[in-house]
Amino acid sequence: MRNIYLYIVLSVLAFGCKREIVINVKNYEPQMVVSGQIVPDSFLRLRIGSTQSITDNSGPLWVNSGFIEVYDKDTNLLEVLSNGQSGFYQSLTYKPQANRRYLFKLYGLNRTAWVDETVPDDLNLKLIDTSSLLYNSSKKHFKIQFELGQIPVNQAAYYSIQLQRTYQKINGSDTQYLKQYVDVYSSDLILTEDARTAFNKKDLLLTNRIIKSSPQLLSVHAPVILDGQVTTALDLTVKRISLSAFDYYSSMYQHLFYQNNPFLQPNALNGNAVGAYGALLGVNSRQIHIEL
Amino acid sequence: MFRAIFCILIVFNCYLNAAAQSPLLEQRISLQVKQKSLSEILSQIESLSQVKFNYTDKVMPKGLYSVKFKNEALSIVLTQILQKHALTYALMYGQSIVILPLSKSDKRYTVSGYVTDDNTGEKLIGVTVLSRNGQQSTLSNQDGFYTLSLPADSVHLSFNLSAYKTQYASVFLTQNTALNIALKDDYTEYKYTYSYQLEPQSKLKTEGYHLSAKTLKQLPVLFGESDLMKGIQLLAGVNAGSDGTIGANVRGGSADQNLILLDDVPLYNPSHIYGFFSVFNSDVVKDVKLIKGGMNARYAGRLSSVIDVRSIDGNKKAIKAQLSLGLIASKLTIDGPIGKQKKTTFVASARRSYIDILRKGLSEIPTGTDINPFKSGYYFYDINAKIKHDFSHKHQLSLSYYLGQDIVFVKNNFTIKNDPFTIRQKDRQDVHWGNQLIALRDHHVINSRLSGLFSVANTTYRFGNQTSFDYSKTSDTSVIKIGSASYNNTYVNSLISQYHLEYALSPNSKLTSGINYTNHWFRNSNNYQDSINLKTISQSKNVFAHEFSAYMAFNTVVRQKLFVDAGCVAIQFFSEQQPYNSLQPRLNVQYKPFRKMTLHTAYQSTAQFLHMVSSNSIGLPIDVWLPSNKSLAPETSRQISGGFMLQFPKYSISIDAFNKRMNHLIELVSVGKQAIDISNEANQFSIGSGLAYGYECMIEKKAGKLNGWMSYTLSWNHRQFEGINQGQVFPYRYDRRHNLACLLNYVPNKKIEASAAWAMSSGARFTIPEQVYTVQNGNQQWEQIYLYSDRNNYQFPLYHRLDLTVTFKQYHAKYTSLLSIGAYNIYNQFNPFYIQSSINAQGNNMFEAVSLFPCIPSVFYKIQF
Repeated sequence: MRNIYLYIVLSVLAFGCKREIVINVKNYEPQMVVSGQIVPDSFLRLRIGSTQSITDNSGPLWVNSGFIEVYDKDTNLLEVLSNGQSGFYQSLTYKPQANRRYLFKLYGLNRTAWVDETVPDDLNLKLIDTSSLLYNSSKKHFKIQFELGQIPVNQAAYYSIQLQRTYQKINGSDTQYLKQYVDVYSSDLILTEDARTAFNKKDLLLTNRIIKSSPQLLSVHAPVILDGQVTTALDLTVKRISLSAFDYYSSMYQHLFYQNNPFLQPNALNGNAVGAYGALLGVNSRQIHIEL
Repeated sequence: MFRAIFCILIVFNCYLNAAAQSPLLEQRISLQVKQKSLSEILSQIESLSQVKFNYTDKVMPKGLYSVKFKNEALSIVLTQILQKHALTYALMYGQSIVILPLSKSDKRYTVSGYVTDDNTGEKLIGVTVLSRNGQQSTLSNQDGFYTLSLPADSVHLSFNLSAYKTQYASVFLTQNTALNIALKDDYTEYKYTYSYQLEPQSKLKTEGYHLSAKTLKQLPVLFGESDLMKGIQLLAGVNAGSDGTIGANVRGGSADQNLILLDDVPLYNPSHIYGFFSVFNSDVVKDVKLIKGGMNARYAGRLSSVIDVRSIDGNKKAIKAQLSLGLIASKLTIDGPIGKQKKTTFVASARRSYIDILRKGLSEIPTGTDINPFKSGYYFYDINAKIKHDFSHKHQLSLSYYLGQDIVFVKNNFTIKNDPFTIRQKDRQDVHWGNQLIALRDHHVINSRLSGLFSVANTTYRFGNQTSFDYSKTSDTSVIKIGSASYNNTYVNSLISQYHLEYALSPNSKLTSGINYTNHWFRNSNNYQDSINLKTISQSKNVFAHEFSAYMAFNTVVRQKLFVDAGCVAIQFFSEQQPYNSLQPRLNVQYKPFRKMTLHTAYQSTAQFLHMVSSNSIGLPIDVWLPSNKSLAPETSRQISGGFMLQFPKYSISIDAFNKRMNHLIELVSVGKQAIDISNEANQFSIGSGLAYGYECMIEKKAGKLNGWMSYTLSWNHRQFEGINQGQVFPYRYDRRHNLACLLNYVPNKKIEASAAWAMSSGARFTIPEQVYTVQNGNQQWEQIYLYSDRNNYQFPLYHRLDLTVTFKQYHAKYTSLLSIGAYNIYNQFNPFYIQSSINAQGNNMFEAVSLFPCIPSVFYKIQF
């Protein structure tokens, strides 16, 4: 459906002639922006930035003079993160745990913001089979069948699936191995039933809404040759994410999908920070590495 | 005795002269007399004109009178001189006019009939029928029918319609009389000026603004296609949508709030080519009426306005054909009578664009390779047909049909031979949308006071998308075949049955009433078949809604000074077990304190039970109509307007003010959501309100070689929605503060017509992101996110453009040809269609404006035979 829409819009745009125009946009006071993931058993690492005018071409603005207080659900202070570099703040001692709730108090730009987030529970990921298939009759795809376990049956759970490929790039006598996220294809209804997840194929979002049992067999596939370069390895990452992360990423991908459409005003992002833009999101991930 | 003799003479005259127009009475005289008897005044008129008066001295009043007329029609002079003395006149044979006393009888009779075009026999709408003593006037209705109740006496009627020569008729009423009149085109008389001889003091402001077929054909064109919606955009109170589109935002309303009727049946999507052309083929349009406020109670279902389009019935005299060749489309129209008695007429017209054919020709140029798989195209077509039968002058039956379709296709077919395999692939995607309408109308005059109109109609709008994919890989030893197919259809269908009655209560009062039942059917269906996974998914959802309505309206004219049209429409709408009732009062009052001035005020309450949900701001065909239900209340509106109109023989000036409040407006919160489900619960709507107010001014010149109009609107238009713009009031997208439009037609002779339309308005509103921030996505990559502060926070630059068209006509013995040359946006003004943020060559963020229509020349050729 979106293809049709794009075709219609593009065919209208094909008539157009363009001209750069100057618009004097209003100046607004900068607002704090937070971005980061809370990963169990890893040091906390998040970034604080600032909003800026759309006509500001100096690059992203980061806030180094802020600090972050990390509390548990009973508001016991766990650690204070400070001394930001390029906006990054990292914990030195404390590592978050799965299935725990945390509160973050962020200071920056003379403002305070709060984030309340729970790190999701664990998940199991098991490779079942790999094969190749012809997608759309002509393109060779690599198919991965895997088993997703520890899915709660009577409780909502949210997941994200990503495929990162490793490919060779030859520059004269140099051979580079590069990594790149690729579109995740699937004919599994479970993976594609939620319309909100269709805006970014590189990060496939799903819920356990129509999963009736655990473990669940799923399959994804991706092209073997992309942009003329052969994939040598694939990393399948499945993340169990919090509800805030599911809402945030789905709204972000929808926003980005329509961001350059002049006839639409994209949706705002559903962040979980109160008093700031962006989000701090609980993520619990597992990965499978496959050499092709 | 004297009176009896004259009565006999005049009755005799009536039979011979009833329907005749009288050039004698049309002659213009200038007269200035001071303190003379009436006999002396009449003698002086005899010397100035070619008439002879017959009267007896007994009827002449005693006294001296002063009169002054400058270049006035003789009929007007006589009416004004004689009616003061309770006298009237009747035209006899030759150049004799009889003066006699007005009848003292209280008995009244009805004069009624049809007004037609003398050339084609086509019924004319909106013809002003005026009794020459100025006591009564009426307008011919949508069937060209008029009725006047007048005293049993000698009556003189004039029939006036812009671009037609005014006709006069004299009748001595001794019984109810049928009087059919044929108006002659000004050009057929080789008189190159428009006639406008109606007495300004007698004309009341008509309901709505009429654009006749002649006016529409004079409008400047885009790509050679004249378009009635582009003409409507030039009227006061109408705000055009985006550049080049046909959207009309009437008095602050949105485009979907216009009730667009084709022969009384609503059309859901009035546009072709994504909104750049209307579906109305100008060859079959007879009349268009725009009602912005004070609409009659017979109209219901939309909030803002009525655009009432009437199609032609077909030539009653001979079979005629028109072939038109434009830049993007061509059309053929044939109309004429059937049978010797010529009681049945037909019209058939077809139009098709040929962008795809031209493109196909270009794409089939050999490229040196066998594989040229990708083809895409776009075309639209429409068909209008109508057949009408006159059982008698009191009973007509017509059947009309319209079908319009837009089709976009993308196909990718190829065959590759790679031994030992042969690979064949067929991939096709079709998107089509359009309206289909069929209507049966039965108009019958029950008696001289009562007429009825029964109609049954079906109108459908359908948007569909079909994809198919077939692949085969064959060799001598193996065959692999796979394929898939899917379709998605969105469909709205309304089955309408209605009956209207019109009853003349008294000479000056009329009662109209009617009932209507409409069954709406909304359908959304999806089907997917896949031969790989052997999967078939089929879903469909049907929603039915029922709409019952009844209305009554009363209108009266008191001494030609006060006109009142009051009515009320009651509607019950029922959908998904949720009933909604609505009572909508309507009032339109006009008062003439002076001869040339009319004061008017109007109030209307409206409700809209069908909502168009738009996921974009340009009116693409994917917009979906939804019915009111439990979660979606009907949109409502109240509008009050008032103003005055000054009418002079050749000019009219009107100034209006309006205030319109709209409630329960809906807007899709989740913008960009394309597959809108007809089950409303699945959609995220925001409910809001709107306020529009402003002033309108229109100056019109209908007469002369140079005619046209100029309109100016000063207006404000706001919206307020929960969850949009933090709940704060924001300007509507088409909140154009100033709107100026000017249309000029110049007709130096019958072979050349020139037309210019200039439009200037404040820019439309748009929303741009003002801030950005950078965050990580789920793949740990950094993304720039736009921040929008206020909705519609910026304004396009001033919009203006000039369109010109010159038409050359050649009259031959057997055919007439017409060549039209013109240009849209002749001085190539850069009018942005949209603005987007982008990155320039230096890698810096910037804003980029895109204009779709630079100067576009057009050529159009038409042959009529």
